[in-house]
Amino acid sequence: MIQSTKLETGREYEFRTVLRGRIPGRHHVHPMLNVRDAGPLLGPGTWIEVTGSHADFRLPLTTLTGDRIDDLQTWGVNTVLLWHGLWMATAAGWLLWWLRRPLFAPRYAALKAGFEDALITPLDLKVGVGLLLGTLLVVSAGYHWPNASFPRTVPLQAGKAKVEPLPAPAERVHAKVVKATYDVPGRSLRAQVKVTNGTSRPVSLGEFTSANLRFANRALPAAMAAVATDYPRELVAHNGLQIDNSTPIKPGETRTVAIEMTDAAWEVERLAALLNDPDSRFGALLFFYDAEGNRHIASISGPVVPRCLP
Amino acid sequence: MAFGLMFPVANWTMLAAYRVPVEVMGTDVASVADLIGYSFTPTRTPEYLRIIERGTLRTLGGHSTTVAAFYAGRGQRRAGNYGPLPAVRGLAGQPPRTGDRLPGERHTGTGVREGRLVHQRGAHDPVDQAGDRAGI
Repeated sequence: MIQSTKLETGREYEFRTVLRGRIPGRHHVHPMLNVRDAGPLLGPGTWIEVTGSHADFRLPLTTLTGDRIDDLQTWGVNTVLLWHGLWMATAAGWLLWWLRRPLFAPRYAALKAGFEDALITPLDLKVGVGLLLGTLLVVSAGYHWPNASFPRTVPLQAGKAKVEPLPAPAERVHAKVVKATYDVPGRSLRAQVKVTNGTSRPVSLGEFTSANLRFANRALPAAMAAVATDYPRELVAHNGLQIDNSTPIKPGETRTVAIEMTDAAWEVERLAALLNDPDSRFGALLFFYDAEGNRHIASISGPVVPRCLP
Repeated sequence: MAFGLMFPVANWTMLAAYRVPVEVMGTDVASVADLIGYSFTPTRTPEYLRIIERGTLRTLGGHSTTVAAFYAGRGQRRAGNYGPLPAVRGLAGQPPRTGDRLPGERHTGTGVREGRLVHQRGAHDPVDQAGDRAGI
């Protein structure tokens, strides 16, 4: 999506990625969502193979004003080259006009002798004035030409797109972080989460995911089945999600559960640079599953305190 | 300043073609430049990390262009007094005349107008000597 948009927190959105290969080779690609004031959020990467010839690639287009663009890769390039060439030729001509004269040493000698007025002749003045007027004329003509050729233009990156979220679920599981610590030498994030089951069925915590790093509850088949086999294995924690109480949370029940997510991926993926930041926070999604395998998503966020001693 | 203000006007010749509106994905209207930047993303940092509103094409195409161009000329002027030699009257063979100066200029004895080029103060110039005594 080119335009900026606003997303509602806590809502779900559908997206689809359509790619068109241009440069042959094996490429590593990620979906990416750029968040203002926060930076880019990358999705899981995958390798794609692009075959064919780069020379055969074309991206034709018709603008809203009816202009036909044969290939977006080369659109306007000739004008850019011509315009730059014109000014470079003008500059070179002006430079040569002065280079044909005696240069530094003779001019310095003339200045030393008090002949400064002789360094600029009336012809120089005429050429300079002519060049100035010619420049103004070319600039003026160059400004009006595109206005005639492209009378309708739009600002850069000015549009706003509106993306509708998926319908909000009628029943939700709510979760809130009570306390969270990160064990630096143990590479373990521990949190106490207050969970309220707002659904009509008992639910079990099946997965903790943050920054594409997934900690699935290996004791819950529905949670393990939700991790696709082609999901990058380095982002699936080997130890999984540890829960102090795996008993399903009943409808309407509020319970504080202690969860532990331990894996070297916190460090490998550079997600745990906590000691250098006094305002460390984390955000994650909790996936709950009922007996029928329906998934309920709850988002959590809160401060996290690093523990440096084991 | 006038020199700086010429740049946005002169650049419009080649940039106008990139501001033509196009339809994107059936729902959005964007400029050709936006579409080019989106379709041919340079996969080198930090360019591809900058596809956000701050510090991108909007900075180069909004009102800041004129303001930046306005102050470009001012900055150049203040950067130093090393402008071109003043176009003064005189032909080859004609010696300079004492009164052949612009208002406010001083003759330094080297034939160079003070404030225009780096010069050596004339040790025997009474004007410079007076200036030295005054701490100028």
